[in-house]
Amino acid sequence: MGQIEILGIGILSWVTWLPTVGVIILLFFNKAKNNAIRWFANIWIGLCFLISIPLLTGLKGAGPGYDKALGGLQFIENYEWIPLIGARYQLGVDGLSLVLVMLTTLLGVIGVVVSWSYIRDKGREKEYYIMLLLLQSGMIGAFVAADLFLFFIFWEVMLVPMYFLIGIWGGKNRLYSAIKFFLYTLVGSVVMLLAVLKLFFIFPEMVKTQEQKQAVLATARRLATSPVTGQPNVKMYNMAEDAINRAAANNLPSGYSRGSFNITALTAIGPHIKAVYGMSLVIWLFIGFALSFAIKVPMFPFHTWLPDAHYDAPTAGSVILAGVLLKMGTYGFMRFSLPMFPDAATHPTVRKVMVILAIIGIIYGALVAMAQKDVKKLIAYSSVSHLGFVMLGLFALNPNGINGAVLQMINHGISTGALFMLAGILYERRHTYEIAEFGGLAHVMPVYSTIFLIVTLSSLGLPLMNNFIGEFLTLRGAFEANVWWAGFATLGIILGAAYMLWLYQRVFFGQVTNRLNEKLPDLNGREAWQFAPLIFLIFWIGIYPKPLIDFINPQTETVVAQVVPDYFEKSQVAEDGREGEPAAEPEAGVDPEVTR
Amino acid sequence: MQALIQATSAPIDLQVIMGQTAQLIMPEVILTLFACAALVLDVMLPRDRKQVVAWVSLAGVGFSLVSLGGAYYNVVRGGLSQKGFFDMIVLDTYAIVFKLMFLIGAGLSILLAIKYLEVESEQRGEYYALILFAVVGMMFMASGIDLLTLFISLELMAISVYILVGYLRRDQRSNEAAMKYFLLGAFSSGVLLYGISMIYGLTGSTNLADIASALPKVAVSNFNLYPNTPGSTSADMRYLVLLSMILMAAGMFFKVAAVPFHMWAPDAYEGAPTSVTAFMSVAVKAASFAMFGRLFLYGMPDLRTAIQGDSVTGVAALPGWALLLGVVSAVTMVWGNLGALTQANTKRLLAYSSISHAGYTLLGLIAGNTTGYTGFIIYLFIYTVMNLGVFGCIIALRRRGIAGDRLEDLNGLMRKAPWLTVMMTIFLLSLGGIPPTAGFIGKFYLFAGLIETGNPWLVRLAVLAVVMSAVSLYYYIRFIRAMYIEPSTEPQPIRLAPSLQVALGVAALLVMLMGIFPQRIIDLTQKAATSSGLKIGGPPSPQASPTPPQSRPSNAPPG
Repeated sequence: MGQIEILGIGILSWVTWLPTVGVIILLFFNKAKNNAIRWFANIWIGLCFLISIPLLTGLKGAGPGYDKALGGLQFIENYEWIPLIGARYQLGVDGLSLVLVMLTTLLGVIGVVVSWSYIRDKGREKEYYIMLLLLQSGMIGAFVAADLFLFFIFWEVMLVPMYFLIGIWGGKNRLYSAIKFFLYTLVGSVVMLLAVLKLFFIFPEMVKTQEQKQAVLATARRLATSPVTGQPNVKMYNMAEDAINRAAANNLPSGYSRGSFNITALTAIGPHIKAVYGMSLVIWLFIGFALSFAIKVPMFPFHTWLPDAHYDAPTAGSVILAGVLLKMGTYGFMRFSLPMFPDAATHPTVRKVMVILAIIGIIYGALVAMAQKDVKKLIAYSSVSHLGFVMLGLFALNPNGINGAVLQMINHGISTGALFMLAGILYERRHTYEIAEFGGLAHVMPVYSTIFLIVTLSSLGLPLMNNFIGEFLTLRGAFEANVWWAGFATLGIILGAAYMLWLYQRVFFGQVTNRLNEKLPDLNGREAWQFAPLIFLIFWIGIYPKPLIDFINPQTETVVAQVVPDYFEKSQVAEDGREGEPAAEPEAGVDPEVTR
Repeated sequence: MQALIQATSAPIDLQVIMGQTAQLIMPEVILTLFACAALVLDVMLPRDRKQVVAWVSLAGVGFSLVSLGGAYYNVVRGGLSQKGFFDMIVLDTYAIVFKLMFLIGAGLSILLAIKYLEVESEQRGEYYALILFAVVGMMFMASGIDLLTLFISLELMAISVYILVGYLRRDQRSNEAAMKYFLLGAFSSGVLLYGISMIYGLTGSTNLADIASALPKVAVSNFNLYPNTPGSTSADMRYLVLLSMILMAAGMFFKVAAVPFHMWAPDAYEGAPTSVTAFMSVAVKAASFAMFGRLFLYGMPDLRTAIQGDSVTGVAALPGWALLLGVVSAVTMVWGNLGALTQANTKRLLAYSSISHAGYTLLGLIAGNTTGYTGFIIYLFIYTVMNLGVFGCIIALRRRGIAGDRLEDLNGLMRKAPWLTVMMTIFLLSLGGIPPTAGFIGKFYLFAGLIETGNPWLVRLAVLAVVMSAVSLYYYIRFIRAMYIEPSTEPQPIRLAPSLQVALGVAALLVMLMGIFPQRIIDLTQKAATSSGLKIGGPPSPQASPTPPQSRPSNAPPG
C-alpha cells in the first residue's frame, strides 16, 4: 500500500498544495523583476513535478509507492473538515487518478516551459504564473479528492484561473471565448451540485435498515478489493465503512452530520438506489452528473465552447485545456457517473444516447476539422473527435473499451498537447495560424517539421505510437459491444488520418510560396527539448503500454464489475483473449460478489 | 399586548424591567446612548474634527458587541429566561446571530463611510448617529415577538435610513432617491400595518405566539365567534387570513426589495451616498428578513403549506405562504439577474444583484426545514459581509472629481491597485457563489434545503436558482473583466484610506475564512435556526387537500 509522508504531511497534500505555496511566494515578488519571476516559476513547477514522482516509485525512508497489485485508493489522507455537513478532507489516488495526476504534473511543467518567450512578449508575467500555478493546484486537487464536496470545490476553482488565462493573455476574441468557457462549464457544475446534494441526502436513507447497510457494505468491500490479488484495500474500505456507519448511527454527537461525501461510500450505495427510490431518480442523478461532465469533455451538442476557448487561449492554456481539463470530464464519467449509477449507465436508452452522441462527436469533429483553414482550430476540432473515442470506449462498458478510453485520455493529452505547442511555435514566429499562409516549411524548419511529423503520425494512430494502442483497445471494446458502433468509429480514424495528413501536406510540403516564411528560424534548444518527454512517451506507450495498463486495469475492472456485475462470469465462459493482462483475474474481481 | 395592559392596570412593578431582564436589551441601550452622545458631540466639535464622532460611534458598536456576547453567554448559554418586557422581546440565538450581523455591518459601514464623507465634504456627526439609531431599530426587529415592537422598530430603522439616503443635500440624485424611497416606503409600511391590523382583529392579540396558537382556530371555513348562542352564523374567515398574510408579506417584500416591490431599489441604491447604499443593501435587508422570519415562522407556522379547507363540506384549501414566497422568489431571481445584465452603473447593477440575492434568500424560508432555515440565516450573514466588501471597493474608487460608480471606472484597476482588485475579486466570486469563498457555502445550504425536501416543485425551483446563479456570474465577471483585462481609462491613482483598508481586509478575510472553514459559522446559524423563538415547520396537514403542488412539501423530518 502506498503511503508517503514528508515532514508529517501526506504526499498528496504536497503534490496538491505545492503549486499554491508557489503562488504565495510569487505574490511577494516585485512585479517588475520579470526574469526572477520567470526563473522562479519554472523551477517551482519542476519541483512540483519532482514531488509527484514518489507516487510511482516510493521514497526511500518515507514510504512505498503505489501498489498496483492492491489497487484502489492509496496514499489516503483523512481529516476532519466540516463535520456539520459531513465533508472531510479526504485525499487518495487509484490507478486512474494516479496516471492523470502524473500527466497533469508533467503537462504543468511543459505548460510553464512553453510560455517562456511567449509571456516575455505579452507581459504581466507575475499574474500569468500565479494563474498557471493556481490552475495546477485546482486540477490536481480534483483528481486526488476522495470526498465529493472537496472534489466539487476543486472542480469549480479550476474555472477561475483558466478564465484569466484565456481572457488576459489570449488571442483576438479572447473575452468572448473566456466567458463562454466559464459560463458553459459553470452551468454544468451547478447542476451537478444539485445532484450531489440529492445524493448526500439519500445516503443516510440508503443504509437505514440492517440489511440495506450490509448490502452497501458488501458493495463497498467489493469496490475496495483488488481484482488482481483479491486482497482488500483496508484503508479505503475503512474510510467508506466509517461513513456508512455514521450514516446509520442513531447517537451521533451534536455537531456531526449523518450525511457523508465520501466517494467510495457514495459509490457503494449506487447499485441500490434503484431498489429504494426507483429508476427515475437514478436517471435524473445520472443526468445531473453527466451534463456537467459532458460539457467538460465536451460531448457533441455541448462542444461549441471548445474551439473558441482553444483558439483564443495562449499556448500553455491550450496545452493544459486539452491535456488535462478535458480529461476532467471523462475522468468524472469513469469515477462518478458509471460506478455510482450503474443502473442508468446500463439502461439501454441512456447508453444508446451516450454512444450515439460519442459517435456523432467522432465523425462530426473530424469532418469539421477537415474543413478548417486554421491550424489551431483544426487541432481543436480534432479534440472533439478524439474525446468522442474516449466516450465510446467508456460506454462500451467492458474492460477493453474502458482501458482503451483511459489510454486514449492520456494519449490525447500527450499528442494534442504537443500539437498545440507546435502550433504555438508557429504563431510566435508568424503571428498567424492560417494554413494558407504557410507551405513548404519542411525546407526552412527541418527539426520542427520532423517533430510535427512524429506528432501528426501519433495523432492519427500509426502503429507503434501511443494513439494506436488506445484506439485499438477502444475499437475492440466497441466491437465487442456492438459491431456497428465500431464500424462508425473506424470512419473517424480514417477521417482523422485524412485531415492530419492534409494539414501536414499543406503546411510543410511543396515550395515556400510565402516570402515571409523564407527566413523562419528553426527550433532553438528550449523549444526542441520541451518536446523530448512527450515524444518519449509517444513511443513508449506505443511500443510497450503494459506498465501503464497495469496501473489502469484494476480500476477498470472494478468499474466494470460495478456496472455490469455479470460481465466477468460471462466472459469466463467465452475464451479469454485480452491482451496485456494475466488471465486469472476475472474470478478475483467477482469474488466478493459471490460471498455477498 | 394584553399582558402589558394587565400589568399596567396593576401597580407598576419596576422589578419587571430591572435586573436580568435589562440584559435582554443591553446592547440596544448601549447603542442608543452612544447615538445620543454622537449627536451631542457633533454640536460640540469643530468642523475639521468631526471624524471623532465616527470613532465614538465605532466604539459604541464595539461595546454593544461585547454586551451582546455577554448576553449570549448569560441568557442563551446560561439558560436564563429569554423573553422579557411582557413577552415583547425575545433574545434567542436567532436574535443574537442577526444582531451580530447588524453590528458587523454597522461597524464595517462606519469604517467605509469615514473617508467617503470626507471626499464628499459632508462629514457631519448625525450620519453616524443615524446609523446607530437604525441599528437599534434593526436589533429590535430581530428580537421583537410582538407586532407592535416589530412595527415600531421597523419604522425607527426605516426613518433613519430615509434620511441617510438623502444625506447628500446638494446632490440632486440623492434627494430624488430619498423622496422615492420615502414615499414608497411609507406606502409599504401602510400596507404592512393594514395586514397587522387585520391579523389583530382576527386573533385579538399582537403577540406572535398568541397569534400562532389562535390562527388554527380562526383560519377555518366555518368560524363562529359565539358557537353556543343560537342564531349565530358562521363565516369563512380564511380569506381574511389570506389577505392579511399577503398584505404583511407585501410589506416585507418591499423592504427586502423582492419583485414586484423592487422598483425603488435601483434608484435608491444609485442615488444614495455609496456608504449608505452599502449599509442599506445589507443591514436593512438582513433586518427585514429577520422580521420576515419571525413573522412567518413564529407567527404563522401553521399557514406554511396551506390554509386548510374542510373535507366534510368539500371546501378546498387555500394556498399557504410557502407558495406565495416560492413564486415571488422565482420571479425575483429571474428579474433581478436579468435586470443586472445590462447595467453600466455599478451601484445600479449591484442593486439588481441585491434584488436577486433577496430571491435566493427566500429559498431558505420556502424549504421549511432546518437546513433551509440555516441557509436563510447563513446566507444573510455571508451576504452582509461580501456585499459590504464590494461596496467598500466601489467607495475606494470615489476620488475628487471621479464618481467611481461607472463600470469603466474599474478599468485597469489591477495595475493601479492590485490588492484592492484581488479583494474585489474575492467578493465578486463570493457573490457569484464560486468556492472556496463563503458565498458558495451560503448557496450550498440554500439549495440543500430545497433538495432535502424532495418535493419536485422545490427541486425545479432549485434548478432555476442554480441556473440563475450561473447567469449572475456573467455580470460579476464583467467587473472582473474591467479590472483585469480592459486597459486603464483614467490615470488618477488610487490611495486607500487606512480605515477603508481595515474594513476591506476584515471583510475579505471573513469571506475566505467562512468559505474554507465554515464549521463555526454553520454551527452558530444552525443553533439560530433551531432556536426556541422560531418554530420549525408547521404540522403536516392531515387532510390531503388539492393545493397547488408547491405548497405541499413532502414532510421531511426536521433535522
